[in-house]
Amino acid sequence: MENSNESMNGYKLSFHGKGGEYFGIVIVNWLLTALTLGLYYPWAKAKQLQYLYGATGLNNDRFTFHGTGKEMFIGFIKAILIFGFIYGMFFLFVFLEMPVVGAVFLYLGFLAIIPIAIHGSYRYRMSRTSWRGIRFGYRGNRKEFIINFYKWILLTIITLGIYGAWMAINLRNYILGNIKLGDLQFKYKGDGWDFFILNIKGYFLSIITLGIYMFWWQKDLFAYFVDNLSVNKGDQQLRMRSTATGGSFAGLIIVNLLILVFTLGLGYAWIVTRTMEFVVKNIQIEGDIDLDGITQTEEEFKDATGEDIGDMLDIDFII
Amino acid sequence: MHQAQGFFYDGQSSKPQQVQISLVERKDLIEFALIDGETTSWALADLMCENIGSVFEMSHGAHQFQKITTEDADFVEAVKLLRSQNGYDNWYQKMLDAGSVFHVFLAILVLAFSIVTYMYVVPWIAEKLVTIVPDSYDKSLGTGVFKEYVRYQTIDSAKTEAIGEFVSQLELNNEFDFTFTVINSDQVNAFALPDGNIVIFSGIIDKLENYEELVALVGHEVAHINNRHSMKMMSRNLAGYMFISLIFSDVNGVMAIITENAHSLHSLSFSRHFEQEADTDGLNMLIANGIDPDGMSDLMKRLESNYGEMIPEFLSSHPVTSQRKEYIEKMISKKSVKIIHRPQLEEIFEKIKGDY
Repeated sequence: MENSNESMNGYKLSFHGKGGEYFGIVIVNWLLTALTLGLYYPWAKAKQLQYLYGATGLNNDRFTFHGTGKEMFIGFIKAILIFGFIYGMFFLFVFLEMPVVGAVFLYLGFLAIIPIAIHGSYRYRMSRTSWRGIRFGYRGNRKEFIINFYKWILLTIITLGIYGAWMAINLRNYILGNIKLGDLQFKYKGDGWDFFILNIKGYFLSIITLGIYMFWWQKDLFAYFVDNLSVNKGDQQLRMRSTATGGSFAGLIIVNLLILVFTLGLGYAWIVTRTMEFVVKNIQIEGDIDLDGITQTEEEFKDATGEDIGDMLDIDFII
Repeated sequence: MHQAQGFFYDGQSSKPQQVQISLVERKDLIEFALIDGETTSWALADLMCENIGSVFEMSHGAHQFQKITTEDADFVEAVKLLRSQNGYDNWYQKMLDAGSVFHVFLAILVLAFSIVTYMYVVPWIAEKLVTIVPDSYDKSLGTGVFKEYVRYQTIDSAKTEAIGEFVSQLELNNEFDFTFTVINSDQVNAFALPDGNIVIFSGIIDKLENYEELVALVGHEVAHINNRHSMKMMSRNLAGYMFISLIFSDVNGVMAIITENAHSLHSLSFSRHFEQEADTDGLNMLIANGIDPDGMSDLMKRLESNYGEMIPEFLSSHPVTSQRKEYIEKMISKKSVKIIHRPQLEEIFEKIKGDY
């Protein structure tokens, strides 16, 4: 590692997690969450993230998740208060025999917190993630993001969902384009039209082939995510490339399903580690950035409210 | 003193700095010298240690952005030993380190504990909770459902009135005011709402052959209301559902779905239990009114002739009719009954039937 030429040429992602180890974490967390009637949830989540991040490596150095259960517990409480307020208002309006006003309030309330939750969870999660002691960071502007989000969602509604493909890509371009690792800048270069065609093609071919094409559709989606992602520093760059095939996706998904069904869900830990291994194995990185030359630029950020609202709304983290 | 080669990351740059680390056992710390010659020491108590594959990471600072990694197995062993001797391992880590046999055992334990709680503790608590809910809630709930239901049905007002007269002749031991409504429909069924509204379909009346059977039917439905079965059912279902989603949703979606379906099957057994209770109470009501208890088993015969048995019991909200007949007959044989003939009831019954 003293020789910087080595890392100039070879970049390798690796996953070292083991289903058995992760199973231990899931079970211990399960016990504690059950005993505390759910209050342990934020700590449980922190432990799981710490394990999965720690098991993922770039050039043999692991990622670290620094978030703590305590930070996330505070976020959890805030999220509960926000949801409590929205539901409380809804029931108040219903009680006052204005159910329509209540329903409108409920939907608008949720709609209002979705972009805040996405923004907040990226800020928190990124600032609590590091590699070789260098923090990730999310530099999106909240106001700008919220305005964009409403604009896109309005267009999606007006076009009866067709704009959804563009919205998904706009979100990726914005969010991923604002992620940093020290002085490295992430960039996502997706196109709504390409993404739309990809999905239309996947949808119809899946129907025609009675679902078999779904694995190849999944492969295309994965490739579209990975291939358009790059990391930049001045004129230096790291480019990602997916090596996953439809057949290997079929293997992954079918075996995952079998594990899930035959263990009645208890094999979930192995599914997570198998999937992580698959993802990491199928991302190839090429480029000329010196991984020894990254400097710390991002500030710390400790508010986990967005993260927890995101959980409650079931928003997937990576868009 | 143990020594090892490792890499230091200073939290400012991603550049690994090769360092020689020493474990100073008597001072309970590790020491290492940087390139500029400065020696830094970190107390073992302040370190976050993690073993990831062959690499051992010791991170330091308020949020652990500085760290040292090493792959020297002897050194790692020494650090771990010292940390555990000094009690720096937390209990969580100890549970993780306990091994997979322990984890499987733990999983079975949580599962068994959850099932026992679900089967016995949750329904018990749920029923206790019902006693706190005021009767007025039952009333408004039942009345709301009744209004909505009746809106799309045709009421047979002559029969409704006659049934009212019929029931007024009986001692129902009621805490609620009962209102009977006959609805024109081929369904061989009747149901009771928590506010005291009882709906009887003309289809079941057509099947009845004597007034004792009608009293049995009334007794069964009245027992549902007197025992607040609807509220108990709701409370048990809700409590069971909340318990299940608390225990299983956090693990993963598949377990949540499996357990939710198991819950719906199990809640049918609550329902069967309540049906049996209503049969028993209904029978006692017959006896208390001096009416031939065979009316209850005859009622079962009418139901049996209509439905046959198509679905297995565990999928049904009611016990199998033949089984109901059996336990009813067993109960009847144990009781000494004084039967009084009730010509007035018979007359009204003929009136109810006779409209056709």
